[in-house]
Amino acid sequence: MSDTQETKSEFAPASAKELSRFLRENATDNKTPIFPVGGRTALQFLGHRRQAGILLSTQNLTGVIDYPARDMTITVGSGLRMTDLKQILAEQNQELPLDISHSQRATIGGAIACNVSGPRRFAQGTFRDYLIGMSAVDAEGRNFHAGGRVVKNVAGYDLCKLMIGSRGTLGVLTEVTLKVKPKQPSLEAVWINCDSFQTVDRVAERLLTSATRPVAMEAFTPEACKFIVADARISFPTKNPVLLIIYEGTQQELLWQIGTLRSEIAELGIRSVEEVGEDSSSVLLGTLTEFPDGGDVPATFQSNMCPSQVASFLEFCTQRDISAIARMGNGIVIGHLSDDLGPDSQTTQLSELTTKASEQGGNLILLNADESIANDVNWWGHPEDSWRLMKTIKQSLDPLGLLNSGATPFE
Amino acid sequence: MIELSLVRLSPIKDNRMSSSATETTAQQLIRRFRDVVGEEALLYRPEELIVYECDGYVVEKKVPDVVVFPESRDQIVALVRICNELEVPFVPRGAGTSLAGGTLPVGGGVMITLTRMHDILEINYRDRYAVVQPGLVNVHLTQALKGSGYHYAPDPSSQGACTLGGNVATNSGGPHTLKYGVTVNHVLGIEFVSPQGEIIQIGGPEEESPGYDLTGLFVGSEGTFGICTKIWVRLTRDPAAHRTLLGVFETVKDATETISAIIGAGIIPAALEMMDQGIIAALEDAFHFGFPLDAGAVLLIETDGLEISVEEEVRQIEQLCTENGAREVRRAQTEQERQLLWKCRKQAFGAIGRLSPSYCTQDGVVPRTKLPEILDFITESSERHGIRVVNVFHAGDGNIHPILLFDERDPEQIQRVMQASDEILNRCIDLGGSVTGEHGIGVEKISFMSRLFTEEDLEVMGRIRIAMNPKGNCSPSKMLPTAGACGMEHIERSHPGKQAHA
Repeated sequence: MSDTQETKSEFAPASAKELSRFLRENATDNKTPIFPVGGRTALQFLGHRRQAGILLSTQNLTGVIDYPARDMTITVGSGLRMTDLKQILAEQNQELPLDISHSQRATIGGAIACNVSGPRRFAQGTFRDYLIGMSAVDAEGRNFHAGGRVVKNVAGYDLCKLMIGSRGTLGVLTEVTLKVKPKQPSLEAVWINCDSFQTVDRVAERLLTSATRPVAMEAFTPEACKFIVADARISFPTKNPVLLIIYEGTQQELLWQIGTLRSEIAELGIRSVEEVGEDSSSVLLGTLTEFPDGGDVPATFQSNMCPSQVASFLEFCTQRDISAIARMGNGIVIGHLSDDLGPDSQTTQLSELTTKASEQGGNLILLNADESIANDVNWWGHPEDSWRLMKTIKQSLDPLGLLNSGATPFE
Repeated sequence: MIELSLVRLSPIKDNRMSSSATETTAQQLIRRFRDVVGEEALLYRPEELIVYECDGYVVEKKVPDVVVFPESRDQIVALVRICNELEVPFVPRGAGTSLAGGTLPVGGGVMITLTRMHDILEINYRDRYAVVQPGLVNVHLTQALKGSGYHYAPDPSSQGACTLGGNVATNSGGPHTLKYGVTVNHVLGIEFVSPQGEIIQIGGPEEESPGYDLTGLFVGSEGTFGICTKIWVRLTRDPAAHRTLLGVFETVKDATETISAIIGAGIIPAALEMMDQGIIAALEDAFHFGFPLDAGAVLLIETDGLEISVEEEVRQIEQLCTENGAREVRRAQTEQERQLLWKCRKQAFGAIGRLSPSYCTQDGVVPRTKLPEILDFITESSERHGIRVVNVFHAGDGNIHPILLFDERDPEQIQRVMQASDEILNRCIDLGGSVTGEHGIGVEKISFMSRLFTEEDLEVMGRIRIAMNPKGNCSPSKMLPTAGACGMEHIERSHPGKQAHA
């Protein structure tokens, strides 16, 4: 993703102390807008903002500070690349089981700031379940920390939760402590070809009481299906709605679960059930993890709703040729608008999607929008009362509004 | 801010009653509350109020001036607005099982007790959530879900009494949080009445909302951000299969090294609890389970998962126990036996009375591999101070609960207990841990905050508090040593606590 921000300069502090001094002086003297960056994989978010300012990079904060593997926790600099973190953990047969896109470039700090998650969140959760401690520097240079390095700790306000998904608007993460898990030995996906989204919904609902324990339940619109099959280089039917189930565990567990799944859903009117195979399943997980990066699509959205509402929303997307995947167990839909539409139609379609999500009791936010429409669309959905409170919190840590200005719903 | 304890109302005979002007304020408060909730939902006579002078942390005591029992969110809004108008502090309370003085009405004022708001408003299995009122007792949700294939995972030992609202305030844990996480990992959204009397919803049944995760911030805020009126909780699948084991060890050291070995081997049991010889004796006396009285310690281990794989995990755990000196590993043979084991564990604190007239439980946390070290230190510290200590705790999380036994009629013993407690908690900090894993800071542990956190950390937390609670009138004097607002003065600990659950 190219950097579309019109920033004038860049600074990469060598330490949290230097970062703190820099921000303190900036808040006192220049009052220049600051844009914290990690791997720069999310700069398209609110890409319409073209303020001048300083890109503040965490690229030098990459150390492994403490890795007591037998405690299953790790403390690292926020600028550590996800791929490096994965490698370090793998050496101890451990993992952070969240699926982070662009892992070659994405940093752990950036992923936390953007609250990135992927298909396995159904079983493995999100950063909320793994971030147990952090240090950060606020807009006025205060170097603060919360949580700690133990897996259970309720001392003080849980600022870790506040920082997750705050997109660098409250502070710049410098150090994070994560709970990690033993690495699962293998993974296997099952491709379930359905005749309609009603069937997808029926199967997903059945799986909520299954004797098996899926780690992911992903549904695709036909447009998304075509892309996924091509990207993952697999050969499965794509014309109809698809539900993909992923299991993790030992070979024995996988075998038993897939067999049980087949018998549990046999009577639900599905067209076919096909095993993807172990190697292709890993590739497929990668494709789904990277799906939110739509390349040159005009806009990418994330809609959040109750799982029971997703099938209807996917139908709505299908009717509009939207390429969308849904986390059926979590109620999260990520979609790309078709580039066949002109800017006006794109704006209209996003408005319809926002309304539809709202009617279904959910919300819709934009992850990306082309310059041609970025200023004309609603990035955050309908205002909520809690936004006022968020604004007060933002002002309490960044009274001058210097950190990643514009990346919050209440501005 | 008016400290109402100085202005007791007639017919209360209190020699602290002062000017008629302040008395008018207090009378006005009660009159106006009566209009909102009615006479039968109000307590203000001394003999009624005495019950509310403390929670599970019985050392610090303060009688509130009024206790009020609202039955709806709108009543809470009205009550909070009246408190604001009359500049009276208020504190929410659930069942009062806090072990850190979380519901202590420091400075007096109004106690808003939520036990009449105890309904389950919705259970939605399709979308895996339930909506409950804050006064619902934790175990009542478990009972309502029984047989559905789902449960609410956080299971504090006090779950038979504690409320979901209280669990939210303290981010409660419990034995099964080792695998399934603490309260915050199971709360999707909260509706609350802000300290200014506004209704605000944060989060909801959907997993994500635009903006900051205020739900995550609110959980564990110990009542300082407002009064929770509705909670959306995530429901968790029941495990397909489980096994419950009892590992019997000659020494505490063998047991704690087994814990490190299990976790270090990459096995995360559903629960991993340790009980030492002292507590085993009290439990056997109380429940007659058949615990080996000559054992140095036992581990209560529960593992769950798919039926086809749970046996393999049991085999690995049994092997690790044996390799680390277990003289025996028993399995619960029936569901009744399993339930009895858990009953013993969860009611362990109730059995302490058989050992000592008074006791003080601590709630330290250390990295799991440091358990042998902290337990050695506890032994050494207890011997040096001449205080008997027994242990029952969430070993898998590194969350220790040393119980210091003493006689509160002996001031000198009290001092030694205080010293030993502080030494143990300070040692937890030195080992890279914390002074509370699940009980909260409350008023009890405020003096440790400046050891755990820097001035800048506390300043940032103070700023967040002021953003959420600008006048500092909601649960004053909790958690932070100072925050520059009314009622946030530092409270020094002067006595150890006699506490009921962990």
